Amino acid sequence: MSSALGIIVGTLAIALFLGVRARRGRTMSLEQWSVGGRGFGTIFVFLLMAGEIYTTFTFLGGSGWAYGKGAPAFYILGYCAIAYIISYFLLPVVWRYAKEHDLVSQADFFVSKYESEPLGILVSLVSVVAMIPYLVLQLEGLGIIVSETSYGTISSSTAIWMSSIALVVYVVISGVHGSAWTAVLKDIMILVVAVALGAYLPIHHYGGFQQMFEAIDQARPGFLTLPATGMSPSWFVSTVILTALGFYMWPHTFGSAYTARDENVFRKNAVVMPLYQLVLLFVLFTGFAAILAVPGLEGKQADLALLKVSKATFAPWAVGTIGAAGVLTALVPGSMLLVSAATILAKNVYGKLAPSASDRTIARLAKALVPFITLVSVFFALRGGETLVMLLLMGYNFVTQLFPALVLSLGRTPFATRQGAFAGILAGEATVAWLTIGGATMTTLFPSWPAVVRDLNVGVVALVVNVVVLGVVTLATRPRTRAALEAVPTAES
Amino acid sequence: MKAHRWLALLPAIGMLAGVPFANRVEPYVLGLPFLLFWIVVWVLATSAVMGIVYVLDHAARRDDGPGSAPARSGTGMAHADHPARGEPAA
Repeated sequence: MSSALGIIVGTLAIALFLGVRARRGRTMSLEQWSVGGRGFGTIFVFLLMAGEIYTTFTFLGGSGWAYGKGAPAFYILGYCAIAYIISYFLLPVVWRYAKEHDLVSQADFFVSKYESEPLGILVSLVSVVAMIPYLVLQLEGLGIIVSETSYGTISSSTAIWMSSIALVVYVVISGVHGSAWTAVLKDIMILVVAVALGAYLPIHHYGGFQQMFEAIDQARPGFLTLPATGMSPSWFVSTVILTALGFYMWPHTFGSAYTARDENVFRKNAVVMPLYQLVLLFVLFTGFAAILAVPGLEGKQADLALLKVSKATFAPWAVGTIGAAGVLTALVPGSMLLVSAATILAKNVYGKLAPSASDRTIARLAKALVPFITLVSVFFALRGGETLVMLLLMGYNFVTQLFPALVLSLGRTPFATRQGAFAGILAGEATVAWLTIGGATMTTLFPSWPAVVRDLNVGVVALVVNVVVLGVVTLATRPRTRAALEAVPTAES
Repeated sequence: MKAHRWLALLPAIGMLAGVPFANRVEPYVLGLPFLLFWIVVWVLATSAVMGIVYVLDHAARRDDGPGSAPARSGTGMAHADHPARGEPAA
């Protein structure tokens, strides 16, 4: 075993130990297992949230895209900022309503607003489906890290299996308590590693930041700007907007709107968080530094950029530390996603379909679902094919479809009818699935349209279909009283 | 909608509408190619503008009268309070 792999295995052992220790002395009810009995302190919660922002996606995917695509990777900086602006207005409204009505899950919000249980089940299924690519991404990231830091002794697919087993053991043993303790460790490690790499590598390999960018610009002209076609400004703007709309539609981010102490928390967040996410800049620097230092990584291989450049620069023990930070950035969000998906399926889908099921049955089912969901993700991870960023964009396309129905429900009476909301979400998701499976792009759909349209993120099509279907069905099913029509809500907070 | 809240659109529009024009390498600013610098500036501006909106919101609420002033939280540190994963048992 290389010393790098040794450090990673050691870190994993510490994470497991923290998880087991956190669990001791508590009885694990479903609530304990999934939200830690709501007993976490403020600082802990802050760290947990940081843990959710810095996933394998930002660490390997962000640097991989900077390496493989160049300027289009800047979208990662843009969409978070816009998402925080939206949160300033959106989350306080959600919070107030959820508090008044004692809501606990994202699906509950739709159920309560539209007075429709089936809509809640649909929203639950959608969010689980969206979480799968997100989970696949974590597993692929783990696979990359373990196989790279083993210096070729472990294949990527073996690494994915090993990592998945570690993830399941970790989640089943400790639930979210493991996440909380490990998040502390992870948060410190990832910040130190990301900033150190991003600050050191450009200087070490190029003599400075501007020198690095000039060298890249010379070697690959046009790489530091958005191309005129393809990932053009039109792609950039549409992608930033779509992902920003989806940012709070994930069940785990939406859920954060319920448990805040007061609604001001969200407003302060919108001020501070954009600064906090600038640390992503360092991840981009690392990817750029790798371009001329470790050239020749094609396509999906670009996700290896960060680890390859680290191996070319540092001794194995340092590579091991970097890999260990990477393992934690996959383990923490990965475990949260797994717990979320399992709980949603057990409680919001099975629990609604079989209302007589006891809490104990549901808790047991949630645990039993963990290995199953992991297996599904392993299946997709082994099939591979997509870069990490592409996987995340796919997940985003799924959750973004919840946005129209949510926003239109914010007034006193929902603007859309329950049939409209249901049909809109269903049509949007069907379109996303069809586009994703068929590999369609705007260019194949609208070959004769101008480039500005052809370059739009294909998720725009699904959102348009969603809104149109929602509108038409709403008009067809709307109660015909004047009073109902006049109670047009505003999103004023 | 209070008028000052429209300010929040500024960073979003500034960043995105500016992309086609800022889509260039030179001039380098602080070592960054211009497009990257442009986006970083607007991320910083997002924070600043949302800070202004926050302050104005607070002032407006104070003017509404003491009864409607929101409860201030104790810490100055901003954070999303609790990223709930999944749902607790009822």
